[in-house]
This record gives sequence, C-alpha cells and structure tokens, in this order.
Amino acid sequence: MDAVLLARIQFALTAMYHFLFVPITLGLSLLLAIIWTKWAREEDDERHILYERIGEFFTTLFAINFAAGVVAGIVLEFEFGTNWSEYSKTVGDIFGAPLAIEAIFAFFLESVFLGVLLFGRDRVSPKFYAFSTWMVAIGTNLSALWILVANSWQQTPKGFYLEGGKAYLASFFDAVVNYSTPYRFVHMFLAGVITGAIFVAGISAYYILKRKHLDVAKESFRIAVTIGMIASLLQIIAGDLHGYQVARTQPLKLAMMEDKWETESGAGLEIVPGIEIPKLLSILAYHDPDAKVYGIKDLVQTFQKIAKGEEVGEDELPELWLDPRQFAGRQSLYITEEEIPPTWIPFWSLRGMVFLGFFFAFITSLGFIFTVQDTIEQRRWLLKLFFYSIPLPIVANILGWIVAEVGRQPWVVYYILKTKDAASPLPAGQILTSIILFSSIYFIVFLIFLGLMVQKVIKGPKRPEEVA
Amino acid sequence: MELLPVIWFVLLGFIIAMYAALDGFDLGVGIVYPFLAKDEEEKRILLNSIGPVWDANEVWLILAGGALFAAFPVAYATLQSGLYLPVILILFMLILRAIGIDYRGKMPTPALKKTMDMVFFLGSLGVTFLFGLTLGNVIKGLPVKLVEKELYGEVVKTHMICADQDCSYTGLLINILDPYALLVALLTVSFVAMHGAIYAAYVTNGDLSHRAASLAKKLWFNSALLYLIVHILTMIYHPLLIKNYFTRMFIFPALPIVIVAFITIIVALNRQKYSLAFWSSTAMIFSAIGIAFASIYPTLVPSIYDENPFENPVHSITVFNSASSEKTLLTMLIIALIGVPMVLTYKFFVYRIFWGKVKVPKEGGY
Repeated sequence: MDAVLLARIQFALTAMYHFLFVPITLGLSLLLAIIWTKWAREEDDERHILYERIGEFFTTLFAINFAAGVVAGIVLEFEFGTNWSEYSKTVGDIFGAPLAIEAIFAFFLESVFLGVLLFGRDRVSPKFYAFSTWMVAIGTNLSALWILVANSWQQTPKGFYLEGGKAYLASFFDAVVNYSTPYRFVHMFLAGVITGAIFVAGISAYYILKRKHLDVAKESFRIAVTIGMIASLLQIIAGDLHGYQVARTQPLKLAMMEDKWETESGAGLEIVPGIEIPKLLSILAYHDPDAKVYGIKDLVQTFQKIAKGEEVGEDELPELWLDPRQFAGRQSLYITEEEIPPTWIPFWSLRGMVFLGFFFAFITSLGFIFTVQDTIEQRRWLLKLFFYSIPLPIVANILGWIVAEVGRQPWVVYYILKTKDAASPLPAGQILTSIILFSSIYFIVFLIFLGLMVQKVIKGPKRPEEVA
Repeated sequence: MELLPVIWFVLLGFIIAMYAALDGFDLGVGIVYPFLAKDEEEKRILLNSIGPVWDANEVWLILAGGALFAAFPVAYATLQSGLYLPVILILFMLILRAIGIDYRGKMPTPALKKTMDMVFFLGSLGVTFLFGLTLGNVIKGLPVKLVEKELYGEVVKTHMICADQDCSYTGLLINILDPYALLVALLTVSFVAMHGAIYAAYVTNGDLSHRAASLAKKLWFNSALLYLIVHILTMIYHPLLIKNYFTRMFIFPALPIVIVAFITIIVALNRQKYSLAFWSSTAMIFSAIGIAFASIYPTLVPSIYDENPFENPVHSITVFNSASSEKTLLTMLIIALIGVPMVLTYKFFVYRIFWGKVKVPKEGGY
C-alpha cells in the first residue's frame, strides 16, 4: 500500500483514538473544579460531605479517562517527526512553536497539579486542593488552545512568508491568532464542556433511574445540565460563526461540506438529500440570502489558474480573508478534481455533528427545566435518554474533526503544502508495523478503560458515613 | 557564529538533562520495582513514591520534543523519521508503562495486578534501553546525507537518514543495533536503575530502604564497569568525540562533576546518607547528558559520511544548518525564559508537598 495513505491512516487512527478521551477531560476537569470549589467553600457539614462524595467519585472517573487519553497524546506530538518529516521540515519554523508552548504553559500545569488532585487531598488544605483542580482545568484547556492554534494555522495560515520552498515566521501574533483560531477554539472549548456535562449528567441519570445514591446524583445532575445547557446553547452561535469563517477562508471546504459542485447564487441548504431549504446556505455562509456559493468545479479551475500565475477575475472567487491569489505561481495550488476527497465524508459528518448539537441543546434544556421544577425523577424517559447519550458528544467531537481535517484536503497546510508532499519517505512495511502496534495496544487500553469505568460506576460514590 | 542557535542548543541540553534526571528516577524505580518489592504493601509504597510526580516528569520529554521541533525542525524531522521504529517503540513502551502504573491499583484480581506489574516493569526498562540506544547511535554518528529534492518546481536541500544507497528511503532498522550503541544502552539502563534504587532508598523506611540501598551499590559497580568499557571503546572507535569534548570542557566542566558525583554516590550510600546520594546521582545524570552534548557540538546528528563532522560538517545536521529562523528562535527564547522559571517554581512548591518519606494515601493513589 502507498506510504502516504498509510501515514494518513495512522494519523487518523491515533488522533481519533486520542479524541475519544480528550473532550471528557476538557469538560470534566472544569466541572470538577466547580464541584471541588463548592466543597472547599461549603460550611454546612452535610453539604460539604455531599460535594466531597460527588467530587471524589468523578475524580476517580476523571483519572481513568485521563490515563487513557494522555498516553495516546504523546504519540501525536512525535508523529509530526516520524511520519510527516517533510511537513515538519517545510513549516517547522512556525509549527513547532505552538507544540513547545503547549508543553511549557499547559502540560506542566496540568500534570503537576494532577499529582495534587490524585494524591494530595490529605496533604493540602481544601482551598489549595480546589485551586489545584482549577489549575488542572486551566492547563487542560490551555493545551486545547495551543493545539487549536497549531491546527488553525494549518487550516488558515497567516503571519509567514515563503522562501526557498519553506515557510518562515513573519509575525508570531498573526500566526497564532490567524484567521480561524478564535472561532475554532471557542467551538472546541464549548464542545468539551458539553461532553463533560453530558458525561456527568448521564451517569447521574443512571443512579436516579436506579434510585441509588439519590442525593449525590440529583446534585451532580443539576450542576451538569445547567452548565451543559448554557454551553450547548452558546454552541449554536459559535458553530454558526465558525461556518461563516470557513466560508471566508476555505471556500473549497465549504463546497465539500455541502457537496456543491456547481456555483450557485442564493444557494439552498440540503438538510438531508431531498430536503432543501431555499437560500439558507447563502444566509448561513455569507449572512446574505443572494450570496454566491462557489462550486468545487469552478474553484478547482480558479486554483489551477492561480498556480499557473494567470490573472483571476474578481468574480471567480468569493470575498476572502485568506486570499489564494497571494500565493500566485505556487504549484501546490494546482489541484485536480481527482484530488478532492469523497464529499460524502464531510457532508454527512457535518450533518451528524449539527444534529447532535441541537439534540444536546434540547435534552439539557429539558433536563434543566425539570430539575428546576423538581420533577426530574418522574421523567424516566429523559433520564434514559441522558444515560444512552453519554457517548454521543464524543461522536459529535470526532465528526467535527473529520469535517475539519477531510475538508482541508488535498492540502495539509491550506493552499501552500499538499498532504501527499508532506509525508516521510518511509518503507510502507514500517508504517504498517506501527499501525498494528498502536492499534493493538489501543484496543487493549480501551477495553481496560471501559471495564474500569463500568466497574466504578456500578460501585458508585461513597456513602456519607464512609467519608466522614 | 550565530548566538541564538547556540543558546537553543544549550537550552535543549538543559531540557533533556532535566528529563533524564527527573523521569530517570521514576523510570529507575520501574526497573528495580519487581526486584525490590516483596509484597503488595511494598509494591504500593514504591508505586506511590513516584505516583504524584512521574507524569509531570514525563512532560520534560514532551517539552524536549517540542523544543527540538521549534528550534531545530530539520533535526527533529530527520532524526525521528530516520529512526522510525525505535522512536515508535519508545512511544509504545511509554504507553505500556503509563497503563501499568495508572491502572494497576484499579485491577480487581491479583493475577491482573501481576500482569500490570510486568507491563510497568517492561515499559520502564524498554523506554530506558531504547533512549540509551538512540543516544548511542546519535553520538557515534548516523548515515545522514544532504540531498536535493524538488518541491513545487523549486530545488530544496534536505537532510535524510538513508536506509539505502540512493537515499530513497529513510527509516533505519537493523543498522541501529550496533555493539557500541548497545553498550551505551546497557550503561543507560544501569545508571537509571541505580538512580531509581537510590531514590527508593531515600523515600522508604526500614528493610525496604536497606535493600534498595544495597541494590543501588551493586548497580553502582555495574555502572562503573560499563562506564569504563564505553569510555575505552569511545577512545578507540570514536576518538573525534573525545577530542571534540576536550576542546570544550572548560566551558562546562561536566566530566569532573560526573566523576566527583559518581564517587560521592558510593560514599554516601555506605554512610546511609541517601539524600546526598540521590542529589549526587541527579548531578551525575545531568552532567552526563552535558558530556554527550558537548561531545557532539556543533552537530545535533553527526554524519558517518563526514571525515570530521565537528570541524567540517558537510552532511551532518548541525546547530546552524537545522535551526529555525532568527525570529522564531528569539520568540521562543522569550517564551522559554518566561515559561521555564514559572514551571520550575510551581513544580518546586508542589513537589515539596510530596517530598520525603512516602505516605501511601488513604484515598486515591495507586
């Protein structure tokens, strides 16, 4: 098999596997910080013990999840060197920095204070313990920030110049903020919060259904649905803004997401094939009902012209923040229709993610209303729905990343470097070996992870007398 | 001579030395663990002695990877793609080790706990051995070539570690199992195991502490012997490394520190001053990395195709031909000067919470 394809398969596998755990870590760390802060501040003994039971229980689950996620993360950092050496040589002047910064400003914070979180409760004051959980949560989310910085630079590169075939840093600030980092970080942050919230709410719902650990479960459910509702409602706005940004920076990705091959003014949005809402795509993408949405065929033609250094008219491209014309003459812009990935992948992944997003907003809002009414124990159907929804935010996260990464093809750095020119020149056999090694260990780790999670959830939080 | 790449070379050496010294003691505990712990209680003591800190220690490795990537992208890319399977195996072993230590305590049956003990031990041993093997291969030189390739109509000069004659493939496999590098790997294992045993002697009490100390002494003699052999072999087969080191030893007198620290270790162990022994062993590992870095400067990856890679590097990857632009190096330097002291400060305060004799936590822990 082709070495580039194998390298892509390996990256996709290792990144997706890593992302089974990351969103829970991102969101749950924040919920834990809130819970342990309530614990540290609570003066009423009974409530203090209640928060301790909640905090301790979910901290154990957090530890199991974190362990599985962190080991898979190290692999990713080194894969840029092992499997994507030509990428690293070409853009390393810019791309290495965010990874180093992530280690300095995020990983140390996260891991040092995780030591306190997991080993230090009987050694430090409650206030310092709560502070440590905040440091873990901030560290975790900062690490997401720097990864989003790195990936956003790949999506919408800015702040660099090209010389002798390589990219060099021109402005650190522009490279970091570029055209999409703020949109994509907010989107990712909220996705993490939603994932953590539904994780906590789903497990709590299970206990409420079984009428076990009711005091703990009702309180953790209340906290989780409140935060989950706020985050999932905000996510609707963040998602819309992110789409708007994609249209302004990556017109080809927009066309692929919507499976639009022909250019069309006042384009409608296909909710699913066969059901189309007129003009909605133009409204969503450009906030203008008559805006022109460029199709894949025309865009490919236009990019070919730019690659050849030919003149491109105003109406051949939409109004863009990231204008490919600044790379006139660079052959990486010469793409063909055969290089476009199968559009059903971004098309359906996007729809899956969006449907799930609305679904989360719906159930968390209902959960919030019934909690306020204090009728949640009677809404058994909703509690069941929450329980079965535990894995769904993770699915939504992964679908989102599929849209982002497949939608970026055929480039690894938008417009300036093609994926096929970025891989290490390795014998296919060696990559196959590493794929087999990682898949087998990941599979075993995943089984252990599931087994431990189920075991801990069945065992449940401690009784009040076990804590005092 | 440009200053920024040199500063980054030193900084990279510092980061790798921090990794070796800090993760060194928890890797070392992992290696001596099955030989030291007699029962479940002792196992838990040893595991919890590194529990709160090992993860943060490993971050130095991630930082080393990031710093190498940011400051010397060409070296990062060439080395890791060229040593593909060893690097992949290191990552694999790091996963094993983390799973072993993190999940052992949560395993429901003694048999599963035993399996996890084995996984943790093999992972720790594997990581250490492979790092030693990589270090040995790098200092003795690798088949790096400066080749030309075409990208988008432009000719780009690029370094590659070549697996075959015409340099179409990277990714060495058999070539790295060189006897010299294997000896360096054994020496690394022996040093790190000793470092771990000393740490165990320092943080535990009574019988366990005594046994750890006597194991550390055995490993000390073992290390001394291996060190002599490696040193003699280096003189015979890689005299340029020695010559290169001695032209620089006055800038950073790592060799005297290593020797003094090494002797202090055995004296301190005999007098049961385990704290002194631990800090000496830390200083020794830190300086040993210093020796390795000083010996190969100005290269990062010396090439076997160069007559003298240190004085006349043509194919070798050097600090200068692999460095990022001045702008990137400067930006990253500012960030490192803010970030690293900050990390060291809070790390110091948090480690102090756990420092001293191990207490197996009542809640949580391993």
